Amino acid sequence: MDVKTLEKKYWYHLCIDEQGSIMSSVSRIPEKIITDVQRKREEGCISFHPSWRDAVAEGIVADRAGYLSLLRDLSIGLVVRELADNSDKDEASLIHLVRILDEADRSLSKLSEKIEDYYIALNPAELAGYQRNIRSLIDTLTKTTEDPLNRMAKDLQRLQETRTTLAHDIGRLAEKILPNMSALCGPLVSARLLAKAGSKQHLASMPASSLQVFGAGSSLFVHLTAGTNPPKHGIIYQYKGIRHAKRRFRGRVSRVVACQLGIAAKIDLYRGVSDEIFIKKAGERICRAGKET
Amino acid sequence: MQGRKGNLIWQDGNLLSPGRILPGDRVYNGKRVWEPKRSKVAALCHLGFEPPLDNTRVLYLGAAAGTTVSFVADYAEVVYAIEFAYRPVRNLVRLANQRSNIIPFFQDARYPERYTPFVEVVDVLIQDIAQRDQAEIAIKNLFMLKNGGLLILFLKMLSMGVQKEKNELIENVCSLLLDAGVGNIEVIEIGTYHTGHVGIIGIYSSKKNYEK
Repeated sequence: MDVKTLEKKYWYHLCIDEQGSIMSSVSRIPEKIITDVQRKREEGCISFHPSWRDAVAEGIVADRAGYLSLLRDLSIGLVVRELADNSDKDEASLIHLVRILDEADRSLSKLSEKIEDYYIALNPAELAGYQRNIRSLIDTLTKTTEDPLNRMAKDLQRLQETRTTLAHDIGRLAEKILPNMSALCGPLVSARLLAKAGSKQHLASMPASSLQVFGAGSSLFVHLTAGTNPPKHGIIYQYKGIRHAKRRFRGRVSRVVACQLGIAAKIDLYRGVSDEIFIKKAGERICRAGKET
Repeated sequence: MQGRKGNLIWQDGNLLSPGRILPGDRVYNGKRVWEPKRSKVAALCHLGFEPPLDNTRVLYLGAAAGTTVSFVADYAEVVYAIEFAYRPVRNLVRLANQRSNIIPFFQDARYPERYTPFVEVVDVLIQDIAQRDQAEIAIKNLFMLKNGGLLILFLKMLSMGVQKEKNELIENVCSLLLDAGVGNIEVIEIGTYHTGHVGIIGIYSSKKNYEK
């Protein structure tokens, strides 16, 4: 290597392997070079503003097109590597499973509603009589083989079961990944908060006040622009401690829950293990908030 | 349509793009239609400002899934596309695999030092990032723009706070850009095609900084 290249090191200098052969002829950049480029970039060893003319002059690429195609191969390799680096497998799977679960719930309720409409249209008498449970309605449909919705009803029942097992699996996974949050407000609610935030990192860096109204974005913005009452709770409303609290305490309870969740999220990210003392204390605080003073 | 400046292809009021047709594109006379509702750059063109894109080097911050990038790449020589969200970056890589002049990066535009080693000095800098500090992000990236290069900045007003006055926000951004060496600033309302957005165009000259 001559003095000039030692002074200024551009990205294309890294695309030459030990034998001195040039990688531009292959379509994929070897993993080793990508690791090398990443490391050198972190160290700040790669000079800015590369020039393709220099790369040609040094004989690394043949022409402008060669320069661009080598750069594109490298950048695609880097993107793929960074995508892999940035994703925690457990966390990603939990986030996507929660989204799938919520989508399944939505589909189930939509389909059940339509089936109910169908049934009422055929049996208007039942509308006046007793209120029929949708579940029992689907049960009857599965038994009447001549009904056109017989199969659909069976599928719905199966989807319902699948959904329940999926919810259990998600709960177990959430208890593993977010032990403290799950202990406070239940694994499913924690998992939903995580899915909404996108990552544990983001969740832990959120202030408690954001956590409190997380998922109530539309009413929050109406509050900010039009001056209506602020929302008391977002996703955390699904936690039964808030849902079942007396109406006039709900705001206070959700504020306390959010504060404790904020702490729990940080413990989950940085320690990753369940902290019994914290959970006990936080639980006491939440209980106190729900009581008459 | 005749009488327009620039080298973009116009036919019967449609802005067309010469590249290979991608799934989802509307096609007119065998060419891709660059629709103003799908792409903010096209909206600018429809509102009378045509950026000179022919054979330029473009740095595109906030490339998303690459809809606009694919059109810009039809005209430009090379597009460096920066995006920092998982989902769209997948599509962007897929697009880069098909087009030889799109170079994708999965990086945060707030930290230009992570991708500048690979990016040449560019002629045009386009930014479409809906973040609170969108003006600051543009300023951080200005040094990659050549002297006399064009800055196209799309502001999403809502991202900068819902309670603030719109004109005040735009003025703030303009004065920030002016301090950073961007002159000839023009503000173009693209609200007709993209609600709540505004396009800011300026010419960058690094000299201005030295004079101070």
